[in-house]
Amino acid sequence: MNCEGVAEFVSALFDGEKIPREAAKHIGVCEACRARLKEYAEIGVELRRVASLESDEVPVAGTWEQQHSAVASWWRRGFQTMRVPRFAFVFMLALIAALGSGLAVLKARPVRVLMLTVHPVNPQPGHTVRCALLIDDEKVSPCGFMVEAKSGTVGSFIRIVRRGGEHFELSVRTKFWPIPSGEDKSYSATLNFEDSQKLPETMYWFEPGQELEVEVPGFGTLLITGELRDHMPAILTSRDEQLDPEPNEIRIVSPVLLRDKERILDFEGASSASDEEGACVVMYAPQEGRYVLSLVRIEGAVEGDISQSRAHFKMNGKSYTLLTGAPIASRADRMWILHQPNYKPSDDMPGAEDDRWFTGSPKLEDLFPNRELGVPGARFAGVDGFAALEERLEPAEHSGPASVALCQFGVLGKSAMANTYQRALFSGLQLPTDGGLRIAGPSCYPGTLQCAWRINRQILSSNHELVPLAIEPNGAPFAAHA
Amino acid sequence: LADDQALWELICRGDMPAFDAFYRENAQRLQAFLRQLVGNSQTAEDVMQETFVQIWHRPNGFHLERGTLRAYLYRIGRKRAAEWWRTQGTRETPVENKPDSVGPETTSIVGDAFARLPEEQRTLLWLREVEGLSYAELAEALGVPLGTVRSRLFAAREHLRTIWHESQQGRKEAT
Repeated sequence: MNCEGVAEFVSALFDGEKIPREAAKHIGVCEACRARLKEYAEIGVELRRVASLESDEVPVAGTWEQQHSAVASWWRRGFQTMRVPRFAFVFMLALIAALGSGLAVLKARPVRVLMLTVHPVNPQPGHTVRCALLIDDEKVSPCGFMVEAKSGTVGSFIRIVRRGGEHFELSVRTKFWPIPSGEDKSYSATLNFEDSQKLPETMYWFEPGQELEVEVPGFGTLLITGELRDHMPAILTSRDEQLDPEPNEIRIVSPVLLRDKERILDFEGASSASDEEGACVVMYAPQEGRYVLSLVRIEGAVEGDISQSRAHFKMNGKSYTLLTGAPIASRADRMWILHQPNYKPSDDMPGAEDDRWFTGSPKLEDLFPNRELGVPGARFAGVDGFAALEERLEPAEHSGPASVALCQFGVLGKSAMANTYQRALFSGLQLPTDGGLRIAGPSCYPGTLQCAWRINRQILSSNHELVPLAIEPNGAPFAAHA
Repeated sequence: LADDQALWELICRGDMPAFDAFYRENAQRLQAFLRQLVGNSQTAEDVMQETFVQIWHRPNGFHLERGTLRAYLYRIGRKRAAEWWRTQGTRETPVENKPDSVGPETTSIVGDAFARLPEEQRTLLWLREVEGLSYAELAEALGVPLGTVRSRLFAAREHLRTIWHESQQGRKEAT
């Protein structure tokens, strides 16, 4: 055995390990190997000497509890020794934090939206609804809507099945409720997500910017157009999505009503708006009854002040504050509020559920045909228009600002209408899969559709139990529940 | 070893005095070891603190059958040092491995040669020569098989000898 062969055993021997007999013999007589052993010892001694030069001061016990990272320690030391004014440094940090947090929000909540616009085009053109599909959120896939046409109501759920580049494969399920042909024109339509899954499914490849024709059995054709957006529109009830209300518009976006300091209504995610003359918005909750808000005087109503997205009024010695997510009105600084604590939706609509809240925008003359209203020339016999009422539950947890819906329509050819049912309306709603009604995005085209029926939109439970649409010809002008 | 097991159980139960004793017994030595890896005392102290914080908040990964608590401590410390290096962007950064107060009495050719070794060899030699870890403990601390410890230690010593001899030769030629 030579030196090269036993070299590793020299190292092991130095470490106190037992080595092979032959290696031990060689080392015993080999000066070179003994020199190596000696050098190993010198190395060890020198390293221990160097180690002994290290501080033998034990760091303060327990400091590890407050230590978080070396980086944090550097900041601390840097802060303690910095030569710039510390307030400036703190200001800089605050600025960075503010900018950084903004970026973080943007990064954490990417929202890409496939905004679909649905038009009934055949056999007759109808109103338009909008339907927003979040592309990046798998939990929120389908949007559901109902759209009125002259011959009936079309309900649909659309969801993105998959994506290939800028193309989207859409699953479309539709159902049509025709208006009865008999004298009694009343009918009701109910569609929830679970029931929709039993409907025939048709797959379409859709590219934003293109037009897609969807055949609806029994009805005709829906024309779907769409575009990609990087955000959810703040106000889906308005086609132009303006923050400022129209001149005559009253709008409540995600309203909260406070009585003194108590929150008595919270319609998070729900919105109602109307710019029709004589329009109003209403909020109903089972425990509170109905609040009717109007820009024109209502007999028996109290007057309140509007300030941007707030309104204040007093009623029965209590102070009320209405908070909304957008300006209530653009050219009015006062509004009238009528509280009907004993109101029940079933009073207007037999069979309506009274234990669900809703908001909507009916016309005053439909609500109060016998009351004096502050609208010039109003003779509200119930022939001038109709309000589609829509209600909705909380929006999903994602970021979509949830505007909902209630549109109201003027009527074409009033004079030609023979009865109160000749009213144009439409509405729309959208359901996420996780339960909440997220967006209802109807677009309003006053006067473009004549529909001889009054519609009571009733939507919906958080678990998709119900998405009803009821249409009745003979009830009171307006009723809704959810 | 029985003491290690008992101590570990106390630490896992969040026994502050037990952990404090563990800290006092090992903190300074761990910091000295880490200084060989990260190159300066302040960072070594930070990494040492992080090592104890990690063990205190997430006491897991220690198995008595694989080694001692001390070996486990050095293994965690070495990992934390490696993470610190990763945050520096590169491991090629020269290590200033001299004591903070540099003078004739605090430098040596062996010490300089030691600083030029790769990290694993520095770790091996330090833990063996200074901390006196056994082969089994070294295997645990470095996460290598027990059978490879002897050969790697030999390689480290030979590497250090080579550098040392070259340095001595260089000094002779310089004079």
